[in-house]
Amino acid sequence: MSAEPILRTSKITKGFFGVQVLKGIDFEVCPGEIMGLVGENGAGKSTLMKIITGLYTNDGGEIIFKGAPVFFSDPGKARDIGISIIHQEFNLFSNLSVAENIFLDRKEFRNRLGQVNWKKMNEEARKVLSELGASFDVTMPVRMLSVREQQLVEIAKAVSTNAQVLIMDEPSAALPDNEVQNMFDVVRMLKQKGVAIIYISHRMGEIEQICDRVTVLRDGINVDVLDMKTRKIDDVIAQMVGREIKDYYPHTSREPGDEILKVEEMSGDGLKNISFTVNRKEVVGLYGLAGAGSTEVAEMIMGLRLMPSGTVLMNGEPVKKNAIEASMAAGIGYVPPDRRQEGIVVNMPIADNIIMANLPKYIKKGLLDFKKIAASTAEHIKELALKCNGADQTVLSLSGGNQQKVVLSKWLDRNPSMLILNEPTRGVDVGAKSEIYRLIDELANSGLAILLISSEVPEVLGISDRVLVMCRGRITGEYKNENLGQDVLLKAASGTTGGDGNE
Amino acid sequence: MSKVKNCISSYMKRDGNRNVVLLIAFMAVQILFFSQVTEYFLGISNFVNLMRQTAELGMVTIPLAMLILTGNIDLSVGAVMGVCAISLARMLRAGMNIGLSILITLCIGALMGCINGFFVAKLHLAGIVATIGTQVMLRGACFILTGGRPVSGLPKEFLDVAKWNLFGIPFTFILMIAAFVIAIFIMQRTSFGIKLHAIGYNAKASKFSGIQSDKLKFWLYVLSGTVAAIAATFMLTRFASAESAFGTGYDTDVLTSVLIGGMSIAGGSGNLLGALLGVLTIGTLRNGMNHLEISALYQQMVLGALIVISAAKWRKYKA
Repeated sequence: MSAEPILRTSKITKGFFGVQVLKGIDFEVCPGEIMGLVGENGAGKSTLMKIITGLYTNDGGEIIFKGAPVFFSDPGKARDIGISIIHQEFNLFSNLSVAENIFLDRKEFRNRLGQVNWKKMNEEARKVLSELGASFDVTMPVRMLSVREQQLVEIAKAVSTNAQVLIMDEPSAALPDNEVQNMFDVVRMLKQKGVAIIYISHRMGEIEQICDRVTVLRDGINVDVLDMKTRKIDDVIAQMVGREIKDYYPHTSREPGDEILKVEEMSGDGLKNISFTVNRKEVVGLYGLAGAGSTEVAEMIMGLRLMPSGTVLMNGEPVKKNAIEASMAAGIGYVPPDRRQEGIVVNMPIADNIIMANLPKYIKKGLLDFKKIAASTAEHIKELALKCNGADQTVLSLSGGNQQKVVLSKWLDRNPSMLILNEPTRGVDVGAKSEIYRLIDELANSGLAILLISSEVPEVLGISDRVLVMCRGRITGEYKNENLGQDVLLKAASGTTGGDGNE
Repeated sequence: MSKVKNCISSYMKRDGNRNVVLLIAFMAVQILFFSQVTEYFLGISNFVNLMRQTAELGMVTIPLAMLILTGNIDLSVGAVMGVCAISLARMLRAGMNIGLSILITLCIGALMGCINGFFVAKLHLAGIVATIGTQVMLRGACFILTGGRPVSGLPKEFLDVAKWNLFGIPFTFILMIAAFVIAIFIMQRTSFGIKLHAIGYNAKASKFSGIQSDKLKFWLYVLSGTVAAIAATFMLTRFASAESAFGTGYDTDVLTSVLIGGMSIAGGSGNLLGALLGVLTIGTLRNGMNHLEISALYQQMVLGALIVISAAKWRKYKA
């Protein structure tokens, strides 16, 4: 690692509408280094990155690139001098080819009449991709590619502009777990070439694995830079929240009650013979890599997806198939994985979002009982410590963690006897995560049955009483969560062992 | 003064209210303008006339506004009105009982709504595709039903309905306003409103919360068809004859009212008060332009411009 930072910021400040978001940030990254950037939501990570890439202008302080202060009038300028960013959501044109996406607005492939030299463009694209160790057809439209391949196209886009600083915003969020290591290989290769990489992530495991140093932001200031050779990830987490998180995964031991949900031979839509049970007063973790079929299981239980064969029983009674209202009436609630698309209506107030799954409760003589709505939403807001300016605020302006609390409130309002939580902590900051874990634990203790679907091993191990593992539409393992190792789950999830499950 | 300003600005920030305030201002300006430049605009007889014209437009606007709130649309209302009016006219001329003919007409409207609802809720066609399809089909049916000649010679008792009034205010206008008041009340005070907004803003999340949007959409289309039949009946009492082109262009007029009223075509955002003001604005504007002897063709251009202007977000985008 060379000692001279290629990019440095000094005392960067930025405010929006009188609120100081960045309060003098010093940040640096050296060539050939992977610098982690962590912080809870709202700590200022994305604002800082937007300033570095020229999307926002800073109010104060300066950006020093290769020893000289720079000023970006627009995002194109930052890219031209060698600072590229790969956003969490890809900026690709799904109907254009790989090569077209990589060289979208480059002049060098056009002659004076605007004609494109396709041969040269495709050849160049192939070259860039092979440098990244990929070899797929560059004339293929991007929508035909897998998520990982799309990400490679994004990286190729950045690399082809000779990026010297590459910012990766949550690069693993869209990737299935088994692809993350491949992505790391590419990142390490770029590092070898001397590219400075800024790696932003909520996933602490990845930060620990890949980063050389980690900068921690909290409330708009950089609180620490930790060298990962000597420091542990717990130090990073402690710095992020400003306190040490004891019991990050609160898990009280409890004796499970009697059986409440029973799934029998659920098949179809990629699923093969899924059978399992969940008891009252129990958290059952359902672990599986992307594509394993856990979301399909949840949606079939909930009646949101056509169940070709199989039975779902609640309290021994079969639940009507393919009808969400029947599943809801049976006492099941479902917190879906894609919060913005499936969980909340972002433009509606918090109150309307909370009551929308339970409208009949709030109707008195055919009319809405606004007093009851206000009382009940206020109670939920207080109970889950939902940070907001009141129940009239639209959900849009809430942070990810608080939005998730709205979804949870929506289902808790129905007094369910069973909750299915599908990736409940996705895109949620560390503080809110631990609150959600504590809530899950409390709910289970109060007698609720909980099916926790997750692709994060620590989470599954941290709060489940029992763990089911899925792989390619089958249940490949069932374990009591006692001294259970990560490796056991990973093996079962990748299909290398049969486990002692229902196979 | 500043207090009033604050009050208005906070009112405008709420969903759909921006256009309500703007439309009230626009109405005041246009009434002032027309009363200055034309001779008969301010007369009582003109206002009665204006109320008659807007009554039917207003009725049809209610279900359409609700459909647009859910992110759907019904472009077949004009054609449904045509079919209903022509059928009614033919039944009446054949000497059928007036009450029975009207009842059958309403059933025809409801049936047309069922067809649209079936396409959208069951077959999951996009509303715009399904209703353009029915629009074209039904307009064809209109020509077949009339045989190219207007159907007239309707019984006097039927045509007298057009003269019904209360203290000089046309009965249809009172009916329309009452319908709007009830609809606005339902939208604000029952769970129906929350459901419509939720479906319009995020159909998937609504489904995931157990809101049965398909059922709701189906019945909204049925309502739309039925109300179109009611409007066609009243319109026929005014026109006294039904031709093949009866109701042509009505869908665009209704759509214009809803859009000027501040409803988003993407669904979710907007309110019914805006739609009502949209109806009144369009009606007044048309009426005023008639007094100015501006041809219908130019009126069309003015209305089109108004849609674009009212829908545009007059705010600079921040980088």
